[in-house]
Amino acid sequence: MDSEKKIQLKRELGYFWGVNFLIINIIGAGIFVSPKGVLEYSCMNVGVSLCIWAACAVLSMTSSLCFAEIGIAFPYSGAHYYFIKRCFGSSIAFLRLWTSLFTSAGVVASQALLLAEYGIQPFYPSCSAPNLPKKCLALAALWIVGILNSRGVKELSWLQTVSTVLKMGILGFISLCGVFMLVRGKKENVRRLENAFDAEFPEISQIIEAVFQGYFAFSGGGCFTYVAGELKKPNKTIPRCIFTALPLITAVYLLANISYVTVLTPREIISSAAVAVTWTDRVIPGLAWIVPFAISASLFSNLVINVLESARVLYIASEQGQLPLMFSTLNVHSSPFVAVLLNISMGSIAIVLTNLIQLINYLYFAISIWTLLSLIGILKLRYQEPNLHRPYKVFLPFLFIAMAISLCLVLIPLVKSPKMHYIYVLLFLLSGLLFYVPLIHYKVKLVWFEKLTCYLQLLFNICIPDASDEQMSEVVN
Amino acid sequence: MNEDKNKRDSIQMSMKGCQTNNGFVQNEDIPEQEPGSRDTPQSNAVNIPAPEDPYLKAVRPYAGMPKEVVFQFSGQARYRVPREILFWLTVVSVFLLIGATIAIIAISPKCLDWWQAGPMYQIYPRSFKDSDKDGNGDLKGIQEKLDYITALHVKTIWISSFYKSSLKDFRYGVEDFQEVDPIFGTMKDFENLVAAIHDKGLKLIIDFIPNHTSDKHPWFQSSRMRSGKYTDYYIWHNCSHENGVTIPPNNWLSVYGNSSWHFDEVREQCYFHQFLKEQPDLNFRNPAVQEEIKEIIQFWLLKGVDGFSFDAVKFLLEAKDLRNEIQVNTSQIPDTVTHYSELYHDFTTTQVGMHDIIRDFRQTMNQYSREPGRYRFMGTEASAESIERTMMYYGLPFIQEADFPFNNYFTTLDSLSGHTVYEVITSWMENMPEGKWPNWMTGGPEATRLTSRLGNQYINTMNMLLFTLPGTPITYYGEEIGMRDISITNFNESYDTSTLLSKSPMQWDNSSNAGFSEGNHTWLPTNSDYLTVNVEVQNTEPSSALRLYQDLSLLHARELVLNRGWFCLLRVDSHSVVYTRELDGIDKVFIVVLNFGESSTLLNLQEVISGLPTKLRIRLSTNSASKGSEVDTHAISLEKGEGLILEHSMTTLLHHQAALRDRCFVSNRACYSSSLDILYSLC
Repeated sequence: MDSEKKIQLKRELGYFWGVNFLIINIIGAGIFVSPKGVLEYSCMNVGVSLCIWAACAVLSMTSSLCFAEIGIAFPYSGAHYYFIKRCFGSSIAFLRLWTSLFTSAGVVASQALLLAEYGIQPFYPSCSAPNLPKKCLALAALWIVGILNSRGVKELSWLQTVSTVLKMGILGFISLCGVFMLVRGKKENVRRLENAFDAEFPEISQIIEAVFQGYFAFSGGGCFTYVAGELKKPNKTIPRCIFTALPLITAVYLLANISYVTVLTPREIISSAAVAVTWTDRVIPGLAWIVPFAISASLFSNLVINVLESARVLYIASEQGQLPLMFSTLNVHSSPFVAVLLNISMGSIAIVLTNLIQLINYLYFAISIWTLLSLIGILKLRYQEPNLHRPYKVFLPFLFIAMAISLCLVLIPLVKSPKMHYIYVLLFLLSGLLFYVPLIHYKVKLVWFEKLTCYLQLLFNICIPDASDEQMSEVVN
Repeated sequence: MNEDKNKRDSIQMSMKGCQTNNGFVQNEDIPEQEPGSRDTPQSNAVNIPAPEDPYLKAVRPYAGMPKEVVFQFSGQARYRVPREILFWLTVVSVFLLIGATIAIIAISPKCLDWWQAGPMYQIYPRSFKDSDKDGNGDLKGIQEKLDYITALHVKTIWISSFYKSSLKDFRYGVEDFQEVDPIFGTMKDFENLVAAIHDKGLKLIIDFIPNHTSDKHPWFQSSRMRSGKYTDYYIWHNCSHENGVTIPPNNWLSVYGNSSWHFDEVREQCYFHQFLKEQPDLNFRNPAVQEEIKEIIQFWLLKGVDGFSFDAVKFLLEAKDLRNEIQVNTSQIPDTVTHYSELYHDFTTTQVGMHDIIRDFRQTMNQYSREPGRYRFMGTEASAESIERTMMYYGLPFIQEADFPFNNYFTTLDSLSGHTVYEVITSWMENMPEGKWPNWMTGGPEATRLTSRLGNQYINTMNMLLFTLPGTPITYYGEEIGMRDISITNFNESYDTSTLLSKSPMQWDNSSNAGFSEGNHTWLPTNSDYLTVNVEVQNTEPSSALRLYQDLSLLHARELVLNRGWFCLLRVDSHSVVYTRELDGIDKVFIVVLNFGESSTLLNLQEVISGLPTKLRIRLSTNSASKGSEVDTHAISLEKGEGLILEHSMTTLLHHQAALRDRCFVSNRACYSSSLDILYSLC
């Protein structure tokens, strides 16, 4: 153990880490499995679908940049939570925390189950795999992620690198094969792209739907707000990472889609359960079985990062006094151990009781509301505190575009299928106030809880973080 | 280590004051606790040897400790040991969980593929549904009716031949294997149909007749010109032809009678045809022909077809030396032997090498089966074969062939009794190679419809039999509503009219043409009983054949026991057949009691199975009124054609009983664990 090592969330992550982080965050299983949404809603018009992919990249760039402003102006871990607190006050921020407490468990659980499914399904070639082994593997994966996460961020770097290489490797391979086949110019391959716009043209409503399908594939670009506190020189790193990773991802997405359509007909793509598997089966038949495992492996890093992110939110919430003190404690590896533990435990419960995930899924609706609120917050703060130090300011029209998209994301499900459960979601959201009022507003203290905190601190060897140089300087200022 | 800590402590100590925490747990709230219990002087002595830090001595653990305080205490065994234990417990449980996953995967039985999981529904496309008012059914018509097929809980749709062909009979005489005949629609229609079928989660298999083509097929036209590689695509032989009389190379007969050799004026040779002279046999001893056939297979697999029914495969090869076949009645004058049945066909059917060709087809199909869930099914039609020869199509233990040869033995029964049904079941189950999958058909385009053959009292019992036997049930369109053959004899079509009787238009409702077509006429007349026997009427009638069919199909889909359980044939007499379906780990046993006799019968089930309760619940009955009621197991009275599925919970299953061991069959042995909700094969 290095005697000079401070126990705190340190600013030690650089540009390379950030790019990896962003790539992993954005590229999940989607591009391997279901790029069909865009194609389907663009009426199997290959040309239109490629245009929509490109448009989605631009749209997601706008919202990523909006969140970059938040992350740069308030370079803390879990900055978007901090930002909401700053803009809208403590109680709203608590509700934000309250939802993310459950959604992050749901995300983690469903991602672990998805990972397990890709890992196991190849052994059940013709029927759906039973639930028990899926749950076992999902739990194992989640706990490994827990252990890794409690070893600190630095330890995860190699994993991130491997995972990025894996993801980009597969997609790059798919893309290159597509390019190669186009260049070689076999008629059956080139045909679909030569006549890309020949098919029926989709209607406006379908295009909108297709845009949202594509937009989801790019979502996750705002993730820097989770780790802004751990980046070196965030005001430089964040924009640089975004401007590196997003164009890279866009290029790879477009090329992969082109490659899919060179090998498969639009109809085959839509009817395929996993496009990458079908594609591989066509191009290198012997290797098709590897693809599900590769997807599974690449999902593992998404899981790691999700746990990392949600632990950061708990951490800052605790520092801001909205969660018990123990969530802002760090272990010797400077990892918010209790926060990770809580996230893993809730995730594990959701894996065991799979029905819970379905309940939590309803809450995702609430996430769009918070995104919208954050964006409104940017605008609000620009007017209220025009002199706030903002090293990076997002171009205002971008902000409006991002707001329009997230407003649509909130309204479209409401209009399309007005269901009772949105009211339940709202009620659940407000139920967070039941905890907020006594525990935070009136600061009710529980003696047994403090004993527990003390004991856990000793048991897990966790302490409140050392003051960072930044905080020191803030105090001085 | 301790020194390190100590050094750091002193460095960090000055910063401690800067720590802010807005939480409701404040630093200064030192919880009251038993003094001394946390702060053992012993550890102080070990950890903090330096006396220059008297401040630390006074410190007790409290909520919100900084690292200086935590590290002072957390090294104690009482914290360190549980911490280590917890950590290693987690690590061990991760390994255990991974181990459990691997173990479950390892003991999982092979899962049922789509062609095993649900019934197949065979459609004669010209008679199913007409969408363009020309009186002929077509592919679009099938697509329109997919919802109906889904409501039957069918898994696989099997469409009989729709290749481009001369109008005589679409099963034979294909002019282009890669084209849809215009009366059925276009290739685009077919592609749409495949997409629609797959969208509904169904699978599609189609007929394929590799043995011969039409004499209008381009290959044949080139072959009779002796052009290039096509010269040997068909079986040509020199023969003398004088004054319109051909002297064939040997005595081989065509299936429809008379010599199977026909003189071709263009090439001035005889060509061989197993069926009509318009259907010349392909020469499968020519590797180029085999390649062509494989290309056609690939063509359809690429279109998304999930499997084939290979027709008439036993005719693929003939003896090279053209030896005369032996007469059944040796005393018959050779010149008068003109009927197919008057010869033993030892040299024109099932020749050595025929199975190799089919296995080759299988290999081709396997190349398209690798994608998960996209296994391509191969069935072979082997009518009028002995059971042993039929079983050869299942392949050998290490050589894969057909997934199953279609079992049409029920369609050949002309009269029913408990014994005849029992015969068919046991002959298949006992001869089937181990681990293979059975299947049962009650009708087909070549067979007289069940109602016409056996009487309409048996339609429900036969459907019940179909769905409770182990294996894939296969239903010919119309059998689910009990359609019968048409009785008209003067057809416009001159060709082999007897096989057309069972191909009459599907009876959808009681509008004109039974809802089959909105045109003025239909290619075959609709059966006159369509006003009462049709889908619409039977859908509204709770006691109809269709409703029972749907119930049975649903039961088959839902009950693991029916899907992959043991089958124990318990008792047979001239009237009834009794068998059970059971699965280890599920204490629900289905007892199936069917009366195939000419009259009603009384059955004492207690004699068959010992230890039965006096009352058993009826899960399903051919008589819809008795569904859900109870029967007296001492005396179950069964009307003619009545069948019951009884439900019983048994702790010791019948297949464990030594006496019954050889009467119980299972294809993919598996046991179910209800607590873990998994199937496992180690049992």
